[in-house]
Amino acid sequence: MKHLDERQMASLAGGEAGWLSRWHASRCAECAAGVAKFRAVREVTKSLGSELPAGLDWESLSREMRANILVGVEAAGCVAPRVEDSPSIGWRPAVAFASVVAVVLTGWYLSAPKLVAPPFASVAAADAVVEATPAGLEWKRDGRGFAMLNPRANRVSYSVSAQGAEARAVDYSGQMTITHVVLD
Amino acid sequence: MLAVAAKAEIRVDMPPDSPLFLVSMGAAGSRVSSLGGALVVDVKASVDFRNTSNSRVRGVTLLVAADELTAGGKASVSVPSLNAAPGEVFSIPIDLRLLRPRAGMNVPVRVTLDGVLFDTLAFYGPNKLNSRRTMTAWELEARRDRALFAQALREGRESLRRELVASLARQEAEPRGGVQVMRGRPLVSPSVMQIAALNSGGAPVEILGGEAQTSGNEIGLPRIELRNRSAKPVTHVEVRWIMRDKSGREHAGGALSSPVTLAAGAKATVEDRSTMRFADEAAALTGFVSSVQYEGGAIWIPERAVRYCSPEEQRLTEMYRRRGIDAVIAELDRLK
Repeated sequence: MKHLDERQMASLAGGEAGWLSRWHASRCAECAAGVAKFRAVREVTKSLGSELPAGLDWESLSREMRANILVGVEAAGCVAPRVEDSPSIGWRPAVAFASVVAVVLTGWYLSAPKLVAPPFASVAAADAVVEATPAGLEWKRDGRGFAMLNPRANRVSYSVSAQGAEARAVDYSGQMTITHVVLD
Repeated sequence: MLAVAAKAEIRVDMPPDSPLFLVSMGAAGSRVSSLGGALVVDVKASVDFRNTSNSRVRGVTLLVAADELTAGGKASVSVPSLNAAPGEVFSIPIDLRLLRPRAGMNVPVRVTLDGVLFDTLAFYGPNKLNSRRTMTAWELEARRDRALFAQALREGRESLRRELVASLARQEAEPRGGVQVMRGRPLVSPSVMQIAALNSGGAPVEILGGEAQTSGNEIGLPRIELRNRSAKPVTHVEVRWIMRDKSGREHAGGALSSPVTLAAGAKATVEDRSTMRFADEAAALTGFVSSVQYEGGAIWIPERAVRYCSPEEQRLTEMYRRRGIDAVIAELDRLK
């Protein structure tokens, strides 16, 4: 085991060290000598402290100590970093809650089943309808239907007549495809 | 010949004497999703044909039907502006969406050939959707528009560029959509609107006049009187409508495509038994003849497109917008 340092020796001299330090000092002459020196100093200090100076003015000593404390506090206020008032955390939960709601609503909107966007042209008969939508031409009746979907194209042009609807699209290969849905 | 797609529900039936041979039917995949109490089935497919004729194929129309699901409803996919040489293979995309009740899971879609148009303007097919007239008109319009662009090119690249840009500007200026057509729906307390005629000098059929009912933003039951000023009998006339609203904006109002019997010099009245509803209040309605079919099948189209963009004009201008003027010049050269 290493020898005791000065702090451990001082603690052992004051009876505050742990059992390991005590065990070491009982077997190490060098450390035991060091502990003995700390004990001697301790005894001297104790004997000096037991006699107060003559004519000690306790009131004056008290005022001096209080003044020193106040000066210390003022000085600490000058050099210490300014501590800002901690901001109110009232808006943070609101922002967090709004963010969560926005995420949930966005997810719901994106995952909600949608056949196509609203039509911008249509042909309707008594029991069936053909609609031109951004996705293509849809024929619908009584909850059934089919749609001719547009190919991938930048621009699709539509026309409608009493017979049905037509969509023209030029795909990325340059081929024109014309779909027609007839309302019979 | 019968082909059955294993992954999709599309079946392609071709007549045995068809000038097109079905090479393959590839289903890129189908996606099934739920919508309330119904199923939505998206099918993406591509049909490959080989031209087994001795002529170049200029256009094909396929008839698409899901009879068990849509009794009465029909659809078609047309590919104009083709240039498939004899022996050449080409593809036609078929993208479908079926909406059906959960009961009855298997609803086959049947694809049949409705017509093939060759560069000689010869036609093959059952023509159930009048594809012969439609595709012939598209082909004639395509030739006319390519000739106009080629004429501009002879004056220089900048001249062709100006024509293409002007066409794109016209297309962008057209109001999109907003028209609802309703069959057989009478207007409530309508007033009478006179139909203006936009007759081109060379048209074999002219509009003598007409009237329609109007109420607010609706125009109904347009009726026009036609006269055949050619020497040949006419069997079909297509009239396109232009509606001008109160603020002066013009809206394409669809077309009246009507079979008619018009002997040389004869007059006839045709009527559209439907109502058009626009987004804005209607101020005027103008009609112009966009195509005429003579007895025997020959087609007339205007010498210059008026208030109407042909599929070929749309295709070439879109090609210019995406790939530049050199691509258009190469295409004009390829389809000389």
